[in-house]
Amino acid sequence: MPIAKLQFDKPDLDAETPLDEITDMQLVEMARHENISAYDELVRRYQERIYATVYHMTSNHEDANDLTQDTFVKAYRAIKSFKGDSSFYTWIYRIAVNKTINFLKQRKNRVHMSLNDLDFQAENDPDLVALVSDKTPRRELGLAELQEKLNSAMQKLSEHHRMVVTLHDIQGLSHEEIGNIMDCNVGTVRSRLFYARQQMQALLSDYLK
Amino acid sequence: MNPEQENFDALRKLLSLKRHEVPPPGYFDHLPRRISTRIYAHEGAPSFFESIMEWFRVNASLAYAFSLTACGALAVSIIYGARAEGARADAQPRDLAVSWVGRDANALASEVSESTRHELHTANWVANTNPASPSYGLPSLFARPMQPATMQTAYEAFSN
Repeated sequence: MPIAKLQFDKPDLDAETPLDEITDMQLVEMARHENISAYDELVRRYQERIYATVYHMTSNHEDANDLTQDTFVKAYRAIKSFKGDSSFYTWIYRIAVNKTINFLKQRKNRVHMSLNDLDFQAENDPDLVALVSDKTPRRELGLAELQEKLNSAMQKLSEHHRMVVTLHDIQGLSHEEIGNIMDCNVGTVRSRLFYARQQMQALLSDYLK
Repeated sequence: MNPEQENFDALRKLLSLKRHEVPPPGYFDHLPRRISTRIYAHEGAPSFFESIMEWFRVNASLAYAFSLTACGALAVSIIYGARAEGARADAQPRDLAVSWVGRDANALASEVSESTRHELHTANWVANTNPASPSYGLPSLFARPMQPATMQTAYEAFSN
């Protein structure tokens, strides 16, 4: 639980209200009045998810770092135009997705992977252990190599297909949420997901038998 | 279970490996401070044009009104421009010369003709580098420097 307290400039909020009891919309309202502390709290709430989305799209930590910062800076500049039609979460995701897709289109095929390390829980994940020990044709293949193959396969997908796989299969968002973020209908999300999975399956067939 | 679905399940299990990829330790502790530093430094602040576009995006009805006004002004300027062009094309060149300069067109024409002759004389030997073209004006460069380069001059040069 966050310990710090915010200095409120909104009369309807108690100055001693803990951070985690303040809703996103209240924080947005305060950030609109140029309260950077409130915006900091919004950054803390969503930084991991935004970073993860961008990282899985780029497979590069430095690019993900730059794009995550750009996303939050741009969102702060545009927060006065945020009408509240969607949640802040959807809105910030939309900015990140658009920024990332534009970046990838400019980068085109110049893929340079700079992968993050796996956490210690990966070695104990039963699904992954089974994949490495039983289903992999080359039994000696380690998790790090599997990670590289997986990222290479993802980079072969188009930006929109990769985004759907990232948001659904890695981050666990629903089809409806993805539709709102990517500004398309649920049918499009489903068909993109199916096509992307088929492609991934073909690319990683050696590791899925 | 559908075999295709089963294969997708295997793929999803493999994709779960991505969830274990984490940035360097302490990365998320410093990120909010980096972002607020960039905000304080006014980095990424919108330009004047971006501010205008953002204002139009928020005030869509005013944007429509502005674009309609701009289109109307453009259409009016094109129509009046075409009419003025037509009226100018109908006028006689002599009338135009009198109206523009405000003095007699014959006097203007003689001045223009005289100055052109002089320019032709100097340009004849300075600018003409074509070896196939006649160089009738050249003798006059030393003998009679200000002699205009005409057919009469050439005849005199050869006959002498």
